[in-house]
Amino acid sequence: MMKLIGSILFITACSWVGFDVSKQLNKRAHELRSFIYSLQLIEAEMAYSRHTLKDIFLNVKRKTEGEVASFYGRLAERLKKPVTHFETLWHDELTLLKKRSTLKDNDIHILSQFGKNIGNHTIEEQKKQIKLTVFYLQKQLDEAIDQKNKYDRTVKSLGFLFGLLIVLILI
Amino acid sequence: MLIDTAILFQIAGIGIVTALIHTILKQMGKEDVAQFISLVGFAIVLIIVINHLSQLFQQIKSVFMLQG
Repeated sequence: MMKLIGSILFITACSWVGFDVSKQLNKRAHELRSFIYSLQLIEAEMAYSRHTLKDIFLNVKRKTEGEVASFYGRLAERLKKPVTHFETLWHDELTLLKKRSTLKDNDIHILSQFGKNIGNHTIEEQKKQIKLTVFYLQKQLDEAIDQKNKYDRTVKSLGFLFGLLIVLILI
Repeated sequence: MLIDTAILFQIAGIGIVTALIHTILKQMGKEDVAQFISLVGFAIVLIIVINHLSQLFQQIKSVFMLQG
């Protein structure tokens, strides 16, 4: 009886790991998509309403959700105090974001590249920079979706099967 | 006798599950890992079988009194 309970617990745990990995694959695509959306929002806000960066980030925070929203929220929070160097601020928040979200090094690198140019140019230049970043992120998103389609179901069944295999070996 | 059937089912189960994992990994495009998993499954089954074979030899020895 104890053996049965142990095996069921083990298989459940292994399947859970599989489901968690597939959830992370889904989450990365979702986060990339909301970053693209947020950059388009920033472009629109810069071009038409001409607010300060703090107000823009607050607006973006309200319109997005999850880790992306809290990223912009923290940025806006830190911009309330006087800031001498925006790039380091952006960089700090990106390192925090990397720990908390499922984004990969490449995605973070693209975003940090974007942070170097924010607020240093005219509106037209800024629009071009945003377009470029969105283009790069779109590429990453395509890759993420591709990976999701490829691995999503297999990872789930692999978790379950590994659990079953180890239970069979140990029984 | 009951233990003998259990071992049969165990080995059959390991074989089936390893074959499934092999197929899935091959589908994912990780053929090297798939080969490795098959090898590991084979090694595990071999260890189980060798254990029982040695038990069988001991038993034969004791039946024909070939001790020493």
